[in-house]
Amino acid sequence: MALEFHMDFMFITVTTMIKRIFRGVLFTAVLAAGVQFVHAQGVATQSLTLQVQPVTKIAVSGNPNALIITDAVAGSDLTSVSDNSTSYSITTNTDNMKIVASINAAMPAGTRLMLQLGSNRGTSLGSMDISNALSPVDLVTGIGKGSDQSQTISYVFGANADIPSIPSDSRVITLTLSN
Amino acid sequence: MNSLFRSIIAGGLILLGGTSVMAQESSRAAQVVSFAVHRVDAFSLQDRLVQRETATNSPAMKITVRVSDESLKSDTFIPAGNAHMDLALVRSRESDITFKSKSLLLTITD
Repeated sequence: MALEFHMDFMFITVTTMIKRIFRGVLFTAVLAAGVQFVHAQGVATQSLTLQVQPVTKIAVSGNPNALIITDAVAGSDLTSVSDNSTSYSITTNTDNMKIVASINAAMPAGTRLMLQLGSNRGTSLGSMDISNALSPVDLVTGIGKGSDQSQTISYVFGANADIPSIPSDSRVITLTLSN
Repeated sequence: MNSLFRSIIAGGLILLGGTSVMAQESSRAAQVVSFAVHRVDAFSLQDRLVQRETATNSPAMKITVRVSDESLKSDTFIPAGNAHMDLALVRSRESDITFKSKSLLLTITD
């Protein structure tokens, strides 16, 4: 009884091994035939996936010159000073973008910092007061897809007549292009 | 099987992460704006001395008016931010002084 069982087990094992060997030989033959066929035809194909992601970029040319008030017309506020020496460029492939500006700290009381951006692809809102723009203020809206290069950034610094002298100070103005 | 599943999840997360980095829907640029207000003193005459206007951001200023014949002189203190003032003494001689004569010298000092 034990011998019969052992024989049966051996028979099954051998059969399984033969099947596996046969499958391996068959797979190798098919693979070789396929390689030879490709080699004979000289053709190879690739599947290429393409995609353009939303891209939004803004850059400025540098910092403006120092805005220093040194004069006044008698009977009027102190004479405002301006700077148009810097520019910005944008590239976006998204419609209806806008540029907003914010300031890192409010300007001294009695002074005003105005900012205007030129634009060919959107609508400039003109000279906007950013003296207290701790929350962003819109400067250009409705910007369409494309690029806009070297658009003028204009600053105007003004002060009331009764503002005492202010030593040199600075603020960081952040321009953000977003939707 | 578990290993394969984990690999698929990890691959998906990497793809999602890459997508969020590549998809730029906002961009920022910053500028540093420097500013200062210097001491400003201004004084002018208008319309034959009918009105004299000043602008100063200094605490107190003195206006000295001199005319060529030294017959007219006035020292007056004005407070900061006072944009308009009249010099009574000058106005009293208004008819005798011609603005275009260049005989009038006005200086503003502290």
